[in-house]
Amino acid sequence: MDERSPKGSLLAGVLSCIVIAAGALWYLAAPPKGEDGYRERAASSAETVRSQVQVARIWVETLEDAESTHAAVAVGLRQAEADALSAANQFESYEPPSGLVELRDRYSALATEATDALAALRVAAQDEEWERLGELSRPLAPIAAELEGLEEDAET
Amino acid sequence: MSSSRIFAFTLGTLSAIGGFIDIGDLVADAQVGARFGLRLAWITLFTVAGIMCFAEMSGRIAVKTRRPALALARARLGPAFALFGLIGSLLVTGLLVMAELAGIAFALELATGLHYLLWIPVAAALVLIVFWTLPFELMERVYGILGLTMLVFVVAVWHLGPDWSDLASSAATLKPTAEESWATYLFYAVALVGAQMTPYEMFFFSSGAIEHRWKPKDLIELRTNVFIGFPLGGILAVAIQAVAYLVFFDAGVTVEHVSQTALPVAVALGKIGLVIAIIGIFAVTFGAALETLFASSYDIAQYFGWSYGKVQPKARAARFTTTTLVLLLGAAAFALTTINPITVTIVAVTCSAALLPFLFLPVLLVGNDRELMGDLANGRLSNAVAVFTIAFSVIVAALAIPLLILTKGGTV
Repeated sequence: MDERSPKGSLLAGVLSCIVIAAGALWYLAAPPKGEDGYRERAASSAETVRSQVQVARIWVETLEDAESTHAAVAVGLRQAEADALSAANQFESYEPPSGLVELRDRYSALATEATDALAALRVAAQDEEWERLGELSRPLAPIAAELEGLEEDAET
Repeated sequence: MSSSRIFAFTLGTLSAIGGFIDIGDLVADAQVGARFGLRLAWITLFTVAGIMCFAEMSGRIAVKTRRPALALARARLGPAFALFGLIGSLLVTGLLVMAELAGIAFALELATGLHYLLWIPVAAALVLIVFWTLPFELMERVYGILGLTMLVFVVAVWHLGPDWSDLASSAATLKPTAEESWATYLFYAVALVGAQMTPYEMFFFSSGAIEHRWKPKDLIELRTNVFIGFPLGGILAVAIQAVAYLVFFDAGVTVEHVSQTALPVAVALGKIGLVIAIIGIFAVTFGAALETLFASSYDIAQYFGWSYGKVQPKARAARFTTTTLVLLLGAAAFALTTINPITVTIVAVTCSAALLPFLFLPVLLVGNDRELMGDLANGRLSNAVAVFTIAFSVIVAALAIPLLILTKGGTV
């Protein structure tokens, strides 16, 4: 008969939890595997950047329509830039599988365009040049459309 | 009934509405609305029914026995089960204390433009001052009433002029959108359950009933607060989903910040609406920070049999007071590590969902003990809703962690 002491059971339980937690963390942080994984990550990252571009557009629109406070718009634009930059940096740190270098280059070009536009908005808000935000936000709509195109192409 | 008693009823109910919403709801409801529209609104029906049932039950147990339901349950189920429950609920509620502090800081950031990390120590200091100086009832009522400003989200739904048939059709569709997977849909369902059916509400309600020294005659007030306040809180949660859907869904926005929860109100109602929403976010996160903090301290004090309570002089409940202060400092220090509070919130509400059956079952057992509860033991309706809630929460608990990992916290 298998008799296990309470201390042994506790140790086994703790070790199992550690192994499961380590496995989960490894899975969560692992880089994409193969072409499908890379395409999926490209689409997901483009979606995140597009989401932030759209959020920035909405914040600027609320300011133009006098619907929002300067402080809230400045915060919204700062967060949009930081999130877009973080998503772009993470994706660009993955080595593309051979054959998908073009996808990475297209992504990088678009992500740079998006983060540059968001940075310009953030700086203008920081300098309290509120009247410039409308003009600076104009490139955001076409960038969002291109990012959506990239998402669709990456998934197919 | 005297006018002062009616006033007390109204205040209590209003507090319950504001108290239903916390950082978990602010984040999860807005994320769900932006990604799925109202396709997960049905979850709110279950969570409101479930939390009403268990909040009323634990309040009734506290009124009858003058002891918190979980402490009684633990005494019966043994120290091992009690320790498991304590560690589990402390981990989750402790994470939520940090997330609520960050929520206060986010509201102050939106109001001033200063980075939220600068506001974390201020938020902790404000919580400490209120904890130290305000009486329990006043504290509960003030943030509850201020939390009512969150009703601005309901007004915003009207102002956005939605196609009501489209909203109804979205609410009646119980499956993911074409772009989303079932795994992601189910993950957000679990997150909503964890956000809306938070165990700390039950701990706080039960311990609060003891602090207020409620008697069986106060059950009417308790039930009014639960049966009117929580469903109205549920409507508020669905309103947050609805405004996020109306403003973000077509634009393809995925909500990542509390500022984005408030943005649809600015779109709908302009500056005034945004300011009211910021006050609401401040009030509900402030209230929830106090509730989670107290719930954690109550939990520890009740497990170790210490003297506890906000109404007692601090010196007579020294260990309770010290634990509360240590938890507050620890939560503030954790928030200052720059870890993303939104990620912490999603992880906390998912883990909270995984713990629900372990916390609900003992309360149900005590509620059914006719020897202990006498004429206040559970009736058929209470038992039916409780058994259904536990069955539902067992499924949710089984899915919670695998879905958290599989969907990478809902990001895929």
